[in-house]
Amino acid sequence: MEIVFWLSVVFVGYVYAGYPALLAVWSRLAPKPFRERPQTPPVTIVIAARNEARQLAARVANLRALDYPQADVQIILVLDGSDDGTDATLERLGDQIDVVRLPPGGKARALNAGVAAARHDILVFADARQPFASDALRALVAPLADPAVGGVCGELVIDSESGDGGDSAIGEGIGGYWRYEKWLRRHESLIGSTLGATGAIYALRRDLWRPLPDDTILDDVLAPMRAVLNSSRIVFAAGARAFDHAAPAATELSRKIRTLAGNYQILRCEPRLLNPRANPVWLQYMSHKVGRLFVPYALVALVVSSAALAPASPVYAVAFACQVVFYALAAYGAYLVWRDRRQAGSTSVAAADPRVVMKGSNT
Amino acid sequence: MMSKIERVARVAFTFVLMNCAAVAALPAMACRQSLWR
Repeated sequence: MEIVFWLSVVFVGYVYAGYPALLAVWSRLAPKPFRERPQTPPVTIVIAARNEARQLAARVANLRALDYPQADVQIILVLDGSDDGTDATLERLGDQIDVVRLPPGGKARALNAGVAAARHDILVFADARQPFASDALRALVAPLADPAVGGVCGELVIDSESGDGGDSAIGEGIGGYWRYEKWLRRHESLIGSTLGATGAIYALRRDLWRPLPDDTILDDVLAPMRAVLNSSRIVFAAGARAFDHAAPAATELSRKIRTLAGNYQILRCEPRLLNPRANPVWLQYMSHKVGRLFVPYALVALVVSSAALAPASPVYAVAFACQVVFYALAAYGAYLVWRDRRQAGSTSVAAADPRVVMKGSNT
Repeated sequence: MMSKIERVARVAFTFVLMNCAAVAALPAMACRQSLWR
């Protein structure tokens, strides 16, 4: 039982603290800089959407207002079985966008169709909901001046990151979590590559794109990781910002389940990621993506083993007591989230809107 | 204004939520959730 306890401590400690510490040291001792240069190559922006009629006009207006030569921007909108009157919206947009209409088939298939219709060599992927900052596109393509860089991950800014919790019930916790994730992403980029990208804003060289299987859950991890397996780098550009809101807790939970299920799926789809000879960022991938999948089981082992050992030693008794305090705090946090939602529901319909979701947290 | 203990509680809740999601992900993968997110 002692072995179980200490192995669990080491494992959880490594995934959440040891690995970030390793990244901090590694990025300081052996950084891999990449060359950035202001440039405006022709780009194709691909947006896959289903029933987003309410968002599309504003989204296209946002993209057409970017600080970038508009003649060099092709916008492809792939409609995956939309039946919400999107066509009326598209008529108003005229020739500002190229439209690909598909029967319902999923996002991956929509992206494949969008890329097939692309005219330019730099692909930029975006979502219908998250607007770009005006200089986002310039910041996104600047690292592509380095031929070793195959793709660039932008930064999704969640409104709750300011620390005031935004108007979201779970904003504070998600804000902290998302800041932690972005810190990891930034440092992974400094020593090689990020482990995927943010679906709301990332760029990829077209020659690195491989058609996605139709049932792909995490297109924004699979496509960039295939580029990494092809010896290209995916780097993080903090200046390339898109914006979103944090989600209510229930929405966030279902999104996380889906994201983590996607991490399992990717291992089945690309088993080379588990091969240290094939995956240039194997250690990072195992530590960050795979390690997270096993942390909850180590946490359970930690509770059980410390409870069993507590009567025999004060060390384990303290460890058990610390966990009790932690989970009691989490329960209090759950109460706060519930309370916030109830208050938000009584004061603002928008704050409790279940359609407001946080995207891009693919860990 | 949120107290420090409230901030910590919310982060602790998020941590637990993420780990619950990791446990649920395996059966979710087996059951194949909807293709669209």
